[in-house]
Parts: sequence; structure tokens; C-alpha cells
Amino acid sequence: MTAREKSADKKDCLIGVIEDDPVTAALLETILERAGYTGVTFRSPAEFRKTSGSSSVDLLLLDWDMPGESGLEFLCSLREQEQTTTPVIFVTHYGDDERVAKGLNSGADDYVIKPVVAKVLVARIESVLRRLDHRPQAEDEWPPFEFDISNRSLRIAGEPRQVTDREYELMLFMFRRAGRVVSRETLLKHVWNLNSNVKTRSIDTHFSRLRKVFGLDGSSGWRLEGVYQKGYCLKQVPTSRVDDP
Amino acid sequence: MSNELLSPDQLAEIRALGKVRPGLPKMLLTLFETSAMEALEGCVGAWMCSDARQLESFAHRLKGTAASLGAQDVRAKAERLEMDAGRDVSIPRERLDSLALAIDATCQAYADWLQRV
Repeated sequence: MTAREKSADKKDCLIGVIEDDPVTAALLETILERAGYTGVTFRSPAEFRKTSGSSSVDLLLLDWDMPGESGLEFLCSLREQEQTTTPVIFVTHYGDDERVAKGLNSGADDYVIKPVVAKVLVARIESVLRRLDHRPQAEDEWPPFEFDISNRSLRIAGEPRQVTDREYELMLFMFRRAGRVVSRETLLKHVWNLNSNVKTRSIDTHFSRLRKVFGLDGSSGWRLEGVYQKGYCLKQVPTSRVDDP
Repeated sequence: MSNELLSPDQLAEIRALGKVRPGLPKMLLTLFETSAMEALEGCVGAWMCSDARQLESFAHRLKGTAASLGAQDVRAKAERLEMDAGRDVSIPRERLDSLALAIDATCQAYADWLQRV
């Protein structure tokens, strides 16, 4: 299977846009939507940090000039302090050689000069994702969980299990991002198709049920954990054996 | 008129994106009006305080907003303002007035274009 075939649907790819200009942000979001991606916009690095986090997106489009922390400062902190490898593409009006080199040398994976030409931006996103293979996993088996994508069914340790559409979406979404923190906002937008600032207990209620009903409390070898002020993370854990002392 | 003020290529792109989000072309005008006026107010404030660095920054913002809408006249004026502020060149107040007029004319041209598409 090729890397391209292994990749999940584009819609599963979450692309964060950190852009303070609302006109540009609206255009970028629509370009991503047309290309089949899911875009999530943040007005500043601070808003991104507060509501999401680099591990909850598959790629970041980053403006250079923003109030407060600049895109370059934010990128340096991502790479140096947070040690994250999330792909970053600068999307900026600055086209001088010095800034392009500085951006790439500071850890950006590509650099696009505004005004954005939609097909070029999408091609560069594809190229970065292909090169770094940072897309969500497309596999459908995480033992003992087996997802049948064609008929949206679930087996656990070979046993068919009743699962609602929402539970199926939610579990598949989390398994494809196992080990990564996924924000509430991302889940609301991607799984519930709701505006990310909607206040709801629905996520907590669903996750609580998933833990109990599907053994995502660690008993299945997987644990769904809440990450304070960040979101949720599905982790693989050693299964406790019955005959353990 | 719109041909001088607005980039036909960018208008074509916005029109194409409007097929994905039907409300987008109209929404962009509202966003541009607000965003461009905020940036212009920032430019005027910085000019009154003789703060070249702030003026450069607000002019850069205005350039970005204008470029995204394809507002090529506003973009060109903002770009020259940004460059001159960066070089600490003395900037007469008339240039800011001219920028304000260009923003108004662009909004009108874009609104006319919206009526036609």
C-alpha cells in the first residue's frame, strides 16, 4: 500500500490557520474546504495555545505578522520549547529572501507568499503532508478494536458491538490520533459539526460512556484521558491481566 | 472602475470560492470594511504620534487585507506607505486621506461587482 493510499480521507486532516486578518482567514478556510480539508481558524498564537494545541492539528498555516507574538516567535517556541513536529507553512505577505530563509531555518516546512493562489497553496499542503506523512492514520484496526469503514461497524476482540453513529465517529477520530491531544473545539467542529465556541457537556458525556461501555478506561488496553485545559488523549496502556497479583 | 481598483483574477477566485460558501463574497466586503478601517485608524493614530514603526505595522496589515480582497489600489498605496514608514520618510497627511478615499472607492466598486454576479 502506498503512502497516499494509506492516508486517511482529506476531511480527516485538520489544518489550523493562525491568521489575524479576517478577510484572509475567511478565504483560507474556504480554500481548504473546497480542497476537502477541515480548517480551524485562530486569531493569534495565544488563542491557538489556549483553545487547541499543536498536537491537535495535522498541519498549521501560520501568518508572520500578528499582534503580540509574531508567527516567527511562535514557530521558534513550537520547535524549541514544545519540541513539536507538526508541519508548519508560513503564509505571509513578506516575500524578501531574508525572511523566507529565516522562516525555513526556524523550522517552517514551506513558505507561501500572499496573496494566496489557491491551487498553489493546496499543492504545497499536499506536498508537505506527503513528505512528512503527518496525516492521521488510515488504518482501521487497533487491537482489540476493529472498525469496518464500509458498513460503519465495530468489533472488539472479534465480537460485533452495537455502536451509534456518533460513538463510531468519535472513536475512529480518536484512534486515528492515538497518542495526540485533541481539543474540545476540534471535536465539536469535526465530529459534531458545531461552532467551536458552543458550550456543551455532550463531549464529556459521550467520553464517559465510551470509557464505560467500550473499555476505554484502560481495561481494553486503551485509555481515554482528559488533558487539563487542552482536550482529550487516547493512549495505549498495558492491559491488566486477571491473574496478576 | 472596478477593473482599476479590484484585481479581476482575485474577483474570479472569490467568485469560484463563493460556489463552496455562497455567502462568502458578501461576507468579505463586510470583513474588509471593518478590517481596513481599523488598520487605517491605526495608521492615522501612529502618524499623529510620529510612531513610524506602528505606522509601518498598520500599513502592512492594511496591505494584507487589501491583497486578499484583490483591492489593488489600496494595496499599492498601503505598500508604499509601509515602505516609506520603514525608511522613516516624512509622510504628508494627504497620503492617509488618499488611502481613506481609496478604501471607500474600493468598497463601492466591490459592492457594484456583487450586484452584477
